[in-house]
Formats: sequence, C-alpha cells, structure tokens
Amino acid sequence: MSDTIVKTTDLSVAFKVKKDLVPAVRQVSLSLEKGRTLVILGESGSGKSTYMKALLRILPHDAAIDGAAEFMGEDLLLKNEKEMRELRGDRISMIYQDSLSALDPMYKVGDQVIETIRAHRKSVSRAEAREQAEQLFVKVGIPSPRERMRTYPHELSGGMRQRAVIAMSLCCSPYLLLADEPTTALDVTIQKQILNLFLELQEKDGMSIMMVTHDIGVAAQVADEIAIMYGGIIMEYGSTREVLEEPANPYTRALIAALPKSGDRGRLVAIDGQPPTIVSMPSGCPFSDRCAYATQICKSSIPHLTPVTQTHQTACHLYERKEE
Amino acid sequence: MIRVILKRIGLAFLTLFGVTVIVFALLQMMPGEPIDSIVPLDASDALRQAIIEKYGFDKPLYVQYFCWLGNALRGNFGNSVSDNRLVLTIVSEALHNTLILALGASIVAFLLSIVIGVYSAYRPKSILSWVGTIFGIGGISIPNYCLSLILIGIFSVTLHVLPSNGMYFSGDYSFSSLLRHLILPALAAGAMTLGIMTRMVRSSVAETRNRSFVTTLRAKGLSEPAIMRHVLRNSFPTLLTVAGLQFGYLMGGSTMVETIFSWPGIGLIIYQSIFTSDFPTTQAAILIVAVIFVSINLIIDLLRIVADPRLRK
Amino acid sequence: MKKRTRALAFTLTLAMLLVCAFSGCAPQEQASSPTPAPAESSAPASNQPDEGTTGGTLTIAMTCGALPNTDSQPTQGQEGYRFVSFQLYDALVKWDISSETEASTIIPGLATSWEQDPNNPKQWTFHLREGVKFHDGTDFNADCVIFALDRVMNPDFEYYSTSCAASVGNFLANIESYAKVDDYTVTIDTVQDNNAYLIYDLPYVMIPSMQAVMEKGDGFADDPVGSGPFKFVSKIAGQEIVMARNDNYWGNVAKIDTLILKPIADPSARLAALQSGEVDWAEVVPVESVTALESQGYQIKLNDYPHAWLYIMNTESGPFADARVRQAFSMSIDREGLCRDMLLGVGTPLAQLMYPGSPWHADVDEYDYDVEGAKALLAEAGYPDGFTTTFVCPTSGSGNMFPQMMNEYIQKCAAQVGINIKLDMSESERVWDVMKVGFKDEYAEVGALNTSFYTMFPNVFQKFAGTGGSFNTGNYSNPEYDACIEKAYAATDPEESTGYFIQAEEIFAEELPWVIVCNDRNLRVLAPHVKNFVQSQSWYADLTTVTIEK
Repeated sequence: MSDTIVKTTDLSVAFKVKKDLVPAVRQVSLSLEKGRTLVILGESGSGKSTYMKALLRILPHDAAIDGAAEFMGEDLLLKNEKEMRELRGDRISMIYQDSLSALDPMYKVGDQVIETIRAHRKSVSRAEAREQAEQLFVKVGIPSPRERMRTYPHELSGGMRQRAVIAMSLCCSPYLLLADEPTTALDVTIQKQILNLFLELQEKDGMSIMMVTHDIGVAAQVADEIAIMYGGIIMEYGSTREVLEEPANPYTRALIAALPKSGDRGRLVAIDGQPPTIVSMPSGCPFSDRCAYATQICKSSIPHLTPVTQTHQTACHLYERKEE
Repeated sequence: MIRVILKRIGLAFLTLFGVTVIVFALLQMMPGEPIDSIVPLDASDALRQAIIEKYGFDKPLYVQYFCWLGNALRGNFGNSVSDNRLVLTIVSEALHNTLILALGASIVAFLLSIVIGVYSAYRPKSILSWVGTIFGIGGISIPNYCLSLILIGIFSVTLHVLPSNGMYFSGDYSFSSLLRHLILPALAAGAMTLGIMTRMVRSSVAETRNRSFVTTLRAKGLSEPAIMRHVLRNSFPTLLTVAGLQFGYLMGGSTMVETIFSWPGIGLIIYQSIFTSDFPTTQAAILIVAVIFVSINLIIDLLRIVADPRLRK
Repeated sequence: MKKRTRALAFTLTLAMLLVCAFSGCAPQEQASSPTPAPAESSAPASNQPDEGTTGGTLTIAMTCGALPNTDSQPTQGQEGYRFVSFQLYDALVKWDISSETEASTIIPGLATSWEQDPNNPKQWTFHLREGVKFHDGTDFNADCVIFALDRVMNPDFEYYSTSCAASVGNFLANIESYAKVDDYTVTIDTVQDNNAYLIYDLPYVMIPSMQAVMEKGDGFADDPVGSGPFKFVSKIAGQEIVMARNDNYWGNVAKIDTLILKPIADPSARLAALQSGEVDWAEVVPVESVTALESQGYQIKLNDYPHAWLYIMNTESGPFADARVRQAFSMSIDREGLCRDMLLGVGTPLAQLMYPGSPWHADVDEYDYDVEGAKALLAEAGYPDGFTTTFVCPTSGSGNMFPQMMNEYIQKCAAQVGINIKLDMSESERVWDVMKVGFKDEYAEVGALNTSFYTMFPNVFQKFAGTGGSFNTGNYSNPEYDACIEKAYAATDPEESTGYFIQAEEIFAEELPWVIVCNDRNLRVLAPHVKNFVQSQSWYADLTTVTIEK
C-alpha cells in the first residue's frame, strides 16, 4: 500500500485534567492516499484539531497518545523529537485558521519562509532561499512577490496573509498538508480562491491534504473523502458523495438537514442541544443525548465503524442492528 | 512619524523646564536662607557682602532663577560653594562615575535576569528556577544599604577578596582595578533591578510561549534554540521598556550604595551638596539627573517604535 | 537591510555608552609634576628600634563624605584642618599636639615669638622664622604672611578667594589690620584692646606659597604648595588625596613616605575598610565594635579633648529662663550611666563648659546627677508637676556623636523629674538656622538646642554666653559674667587673665546658660602596625611621629 500517505489505527488522545485522564480523541482510524483530500468535518470540541496535532506530535507534554499512526510506512509515535522536527515543515506541513496569530509579528513574512527553507535544507544559501521563497509567492498567487516578502504580517490583508502562510507550508514540497480551518476567517470570495489554490497545488504536486473544518460547503468543494467527527469519535467516514448524499448516521443527517436552504455557507446551529465538552462526555455514543433515535444501548456503549459500502462506514448502533 | 517624535521631544523639554522650577523652589524652601549656610556666624560685614555679591543672593528670586537658567543652558553652572571648583566639572565627573556603576549593575542584572528568567519560563519547577525566585524576591526586598554591608562583610572583611570602598586601588588606575572595585557596588545596586527583571523576563517569556505563532514555529520543524530566538524577540519590546526605566533609576538613585562604597557618583554629590547647602551643585546635579531620565524615556519610546514593527504605522 | 541597520544602530549606541563610560576611566589626576609617586612601603623586616623606622604608607579613613579642599583654607570643617591643612601648610602659630597628658597650648609655628606693643594694646608684633622654604623651593617671609591675610580679608585683593574667606571667617573676627615691618616681622592689630587671645585664631590662617598662588590662580587648589610636613602629590575627586613626606620640613620631619586620605562617610563602611586592610586608620568607628577590635589587636585611641556635647538653653523665654530649672535639668541627667552604658567610654561626663584638662576648668561643685534635688528645685521654681518642652536636635553631623541615641537617653532621664521633652530631630543645618534666628518666631516654643562645640578658645566664653555673643542663641545676659570676661581681656598678666576666665567658668557652671552633658574622647582606631602615634588632648593629629611596621 505504498500509496497510503498517512494512516491511523485506533488513535486516542487524552488530556490530564486535574489528575484524571480525559479523552479528546477516541480510537480514530483513518487513512489518506497520495494526491487525495480528506476533510474531517465536525463542530468545535469534536477533537478534530487535536487529532491533527497528534499526528504532528505538537500537543502539550501532558497529552497521552495511544494507538498507532503511520506516515509513509513509518511509525509516527515511535519517532523522537529530532526525527519529528525533520518531518515537520518538510514532509508534513500544517496551516492554521488565523494567519495573523500564526505568524511572528516581529519578522517579515519573507524571512519566515526563508527560515523554514533553511531549517530543512541546510545547504541552501540565503540568496538561494530568497529566490525559492519568491517563487513560492508567485506560486500561491501573491502579486509583487519581492515587495510582499519584505512586509510584516500585520501589513497584509487576510487573504494575502493566508497565501503567505500557505507558501511557507509548501516551501519544502511536503507530501502531506494538514489544514486546520484554513478558510474560516476569510471572506467568501477569498475562501473560494484559497480552496481553488489547494486543488491546483494538489494537482501540480500530488500533495495529500487533510483538512479540518466545520463548514460542509468547504468539504463539498474540496474533499475526496469526508470523516464526520463528534465527541472524539468518527461517526461517519466515506467518499464525499456517499456521506453527503446518502448519510447513514443520524448525526450526519441532522447536520445536513440543518443547512440553511439558501445555499450560502452553513453554520451548524440548528441541532437541539450543545455538543459535549471533553469533560462532560456522555457515556456511550456521544450523540446519544441529542439523537432522536437514541436507545438504551446507544447510551451505554460506544459504537464502532461498520461498513455500509466498500468506501463508506458509519458508527451507529442502529445501523448495526439494521444489519442484523 | 516625525511629528510624533517632535512632539515627544517637545514634551520632554517642557518636563525639564518644570523640573528646574521645582528644584529651585524646593531648595529655597529649605529651612534658613542659603546665604546663612555659607557665611559663618562670626563673619565681618565685608565678608558677608563679598559672598552676597559673588552668588547673587541680593537679587530677587526670579532674577536669580533666570540668571541661573540662562547660564545653565550655556553650560555654565557656576562654582561650587563648598570647594570653588566648577560645578560643571564636579557634576560631569560624578555623572561619569555613576554611569560606570549603572552600566555595571545593569549588565549584570540584565544578563543574569535573562538567563534565569528564560530558564524559569521553560522549567518553572526546577531548582535553578526556585533559587532564581528567591534571589529575585530578595533583591527587591532587601534594602540596598543592608545588602551593601552584607556584601562588604562577606567579601571584604571576611574573605579579603574584594575591596570595600572607592573606585581604584591607590596608585593603580587600571581597568582591572576599577573592575574589582565595581563588583560589589554593582551587585548591591543591581539587586533590585535583577529581581524586577527576572520576574518580568519570566512572565513575558512564558506568556509569549503560549501564543499561537509558537505552535506554528514548532509545526514548521524549527529547533528549540530557533524557537527561543523568536520568543525572545517577541518579549523584547516589553523588556526594553522595563530595562530602560531601570537603567534610568540606577543613574539617579544609587545614593545609598554610593555612600556606603564611597563611590563618588551623582547620588552622593546630590546628597552631600544638600547637606553643605551647596545649591549651585544641587541644582545642576538634579537637573542633569532629570535630563538623563527624561532622555532615557524618550529613547525608549523611540526604540520601541523601532523594535516593534506593529507600532510603525 | 533595515533590520541590519537597526541592529547596527543599537550596537553603536550601546558601544558609545560603554566607550563614554570606560574611556576617561583613568581619572583626572591633578598631580604636581616634579614628584614621582613614591614607592610603596619600603620598611624592611628589620630589628631596628621603632623610633628609627622610616618609610611606608599610612592610609586614613576620614568621616567626611567629600574630600576637603586643598586650597589655602579647607572645607569639611575641623577634619579639613586636621588631615589636610595642618599637613600641607603652616600658620604663624600652631597647637602643641605632642603630649597625651598635658592640655594642648599654642606654640610657635612660622612665627618664633610675638609680643604686644606696650604703647598700643591693639598691636601685636610677630617675629618670623627664617630659612623656611615652601615645597616649591621659594622662601617664606613677611610678604607671604601679608599675602595670606589679604587672600582672606581683602575683597579687593587680586588673589582674594571668597570660598577661602568663608571657610576661615569665624577666625578673622579679631583681626582689624596687619602690616609688614620688615622681611621677618609683621604686626597685626586686633579689633578689641588687649586681645591676647589673637593667637587662638591664628593657627587657622594657613600660609600658602605666594609664588604658587600667583602663578596658578584658580588652579592653585589642584596643585597646592605650602610649607607643611607633607607635600601634595595628587588628588582624585571623591577618592583620595595623596601626600608625600616633606624632607626639608623646618620642624619634625615625618617618618612615613606617603599619606593617603580617603573619605568614607558611612561608619560601618569605615570599619569594614579598616578590617579588610584597605585603610590603616579609621576615625570614629561604631561604638559597639570597639571591644571586638581591641581583641583582634587593633589600637583603640581615646583621649579627652576640648569638645563638649551640650544643650544651648532658651534663657530668653519659657521655663528654662529660670536658672533653677536649668540646674534641675542638669541634675536629672545621669552622665555616668550615659558614658558607661551607651557610649562605652567614648565620652566622659561633664557638667561645665571646660573639660578637666582645660586651663579654664573651674574646681567647683557641679550640678550633676541628683533626681531628688532636681525635683525639689523644680518645685521651688514653680513646676512641681514638671512641664513639657521641645528640643531641636540634629540627626548627625561631625562631632555630634550619636545624637539619636543620646537624646533619647536624656529624654528618659528628664522624664524622671517631670520634664517631658519632645525631640524634634532634623538635619544638622537646622541647628545653624536656629542659632541664626534665635528662640523666637518659629522656634519660640523650643526649650533647648542640641549640638556640640569646640572649647579650646577662650573667646567661647564671650561667644557662647556673653551679652551679644555670636553664638549666644538664648540671649543670655549676665553683667557679672561679662565683667569677668572684660577683666580677663584687659589683664596683661597671663595668669591673672586665666584666673578671670576661671571665674567666668564658675559663673557658667552655676548659671548653666548651656547645659553640658559630656565630653567627646575622639575615638579612632589604628591597625596594629601603625606605631608611635600620640593622641594629644586636642582636635588635631601629629602625623610626623607615626611609623609603619610591616
């Protein structure tokens, strides 16, 4: 399976909250292939960002990671800090929602890109790195790249800034790009541009993208596969078409039903109740206290992913029962 | 930006003008007439008259003030009443000596506080961090008079390794002689700065480390030293402000340390000139200290603009 | 590039600061060129008797915070005279400071003898010493004396110095005029007739090298030239004055090679400098350290000398205008206890103005400690229940010993007899202000002023308690007392004159216009290797006999 870029098996992350270990991510098994885009869709607090950070191993020290994670056949969890450092920014890159707070306000954007290049390609001179950075700016569609490189983060507009961040993440031609809500802070028009940029880059370089968002519209635009995450577990996982047009999980259905019909970007507000926080997680299925179909077994045991089709799985006791 | 700078400079001058008026007025309000401190009780009339003429005591106060101010602006501060040397010479020598002390204290305090502060921010529960906290609190709490005597007691009297007074060994005016004499007073004077700066560095660094861009830096695969460079650079503007103010205080306020160590600096000059009613010297010295303090503040403001790109708009 | 220029600007500023600070680091030395800095201690470890050992460096820690001026008249009061003026310069006459057991008297200096003109009681003729050379080789003669007097008395003189005149002003009040008779004779006319006590003022009028003053003008103080036992080598403001032995001195040639004076204002720091070996001699160390120092081998030097710690009483108004009240106050003070327990022997009890060794000490019963007697007197004066009053006291000041501690002790003593004293402690300048204003206006409620004074001049009788005396703050006026003083001045026979002063002292001890508490004993500590110093009964120190054993 040399085409699998990253794969996790039963990956769990728990945080120490006053002597207790509180789970944030529970036995998440996902995989992503070369040149494909996986979107993890979920509300805030669902554990999606934590999952991505766990892959890069940039969680705080008191986080306990369990299970297995592989990147291009190598065990991510067994690597030491030095090895992870070599991976980060080089073969796996991450970009964030808030580009302003993601960049160091004291350094020019060009320098921050150059710094990344030189951190991973020791033999590159400053002048060469500057050339490369300029090329990257052109690649991500930033006009007047040379002048832009000499600006500070706060001097750029949101869209330009996000492009700069993307340029920074691409500087070493990563195999995998992790994107944490990359367009949430942007206008609709800019958002569209950025998403198209992702698709372009993916086509050109064959990069895999794992994106996290709470916006179904974004998922629909770019995802090859979608994983719906709620309460730390994957509720549904499959190809974009199947998950969005033939949802098998009550949560997914509720999400889609909650979309405003006018077709502009959706906000997940219309489901009754609140998503659980990690300290107030219900036992059993996390959605059980909001689900219209919840039964006794839903409240007592966590559902596991069961296949619907070859490319579609869902985690729901009701579905399991239907099969029986 | 030029306008901002000019406005700040203008305000600085206004402040200094106010300081001169206040100093002049305060000295006049001290008990007794200035002249009575200079003229002996037994003096002949001729002597009294000569002294009045020389120092202009017969003119009305505002005339005395403006004469003094006018001369001062031209660098002529008159002669010291106590020993007839040019006040300008006395004050500039003293200033020079205090500058040495302030620099010594600052360098020690700043370097140590950065080392301890950064270390404490990274390893808050370590022993060095704990020791650093104790020293920091001690530095702020122990009056520098006590600290001076303690240091002298340990290093001069008991261990005989460091001298306890003056700036040089008699006859040896080399740099190493100066350095040995500088160590104890610099420690005593810098203790408070060390305490304040350590805490500031630690909290600033700790706070900066929690900001999102640091996660980005780690996600980029930068090594810890490179990340620390970014963290320090971001803490820098706040620390610069505090450091500059502390340096200003050291320049003007090390009187106690200077007295104990007989370090002939400007604090000591001000103190003594008040006791000998040497008003020309007192006025000049206080004015100089005020000028320095205001200038340092001004420079810090300007440096902040330079250091923090976000302030440049 | 902007980043680089910024960093460069930063570094440049810092570098400039550092350069400013450390360049001129070798301080401005004012050295007189012909004398090279003498070698450090050259005394060999030898078996030579103490008397003969020459060489070595004596470093003294003074109490003043700033160095005394090296001009022809010093600053920093008596300490300036003691360590600077009397070492660099001579005057016409000087104090005899060679004996520990005898009171100090006036002996010839640059004048070998003097006499009063039988026809003109105001005029005194001084015969000058021949063959004396200043440190620069020029000769001493009458012109130099006239020059020195003009320098501080004649504002129109080209080389008149206002600051010198102000420093010595207190000692010039008696001099009306002066003239040269011939190269080695001068006359001085006094203001009052028969002022035989002119010679008590003259030790303080120092005589600089006329040539040097004329050449250097305002720069004279930076490179002074006198005729004294030590010559000026260098001075670094705030740090030290260095002097070297004058091998051609007309009097006792000093034994040590080099004398270094350091100003260390804080008593604990002074003590530390002595204990760390940085100085060989410390003036006035904290009293508590004396026992320990003694056990470590340091030499504790104490001797009575004319220096009284006292209260100037408000004899003008308030309860203390009544002599009985003043006597009662004096009787309430446990002087023995104070000197023994608080001062640990650094002072001796004294209830009259002149200390026992003084020629004008009166052999009378004094108003010393007697609580019951005090209460009885107070009742007699109309204060059976005592009263409340305020004393103005200094917090420090040279010669004032330990004012806070001592005043509080006396406050307790006085409370025993019903006198409740409120202590108004402030800086020593305020004392001079009260003396100037008097016990009126803002000081009308003040009962007494605490200070200390020298008492080696007979003119203090008139100044302190004579009608119209310049230090007579309380405006005390007693015709009988004044008459004694007049007679003392009018008498031509010295013994008769002294007798009248003793009578004045008897009245003083009885009337107590100033209540005296104790006599300072001039505490100083010398390192074990400093030998042959004679602590005389005076304010001054003869450094020519000192030897260093190292």
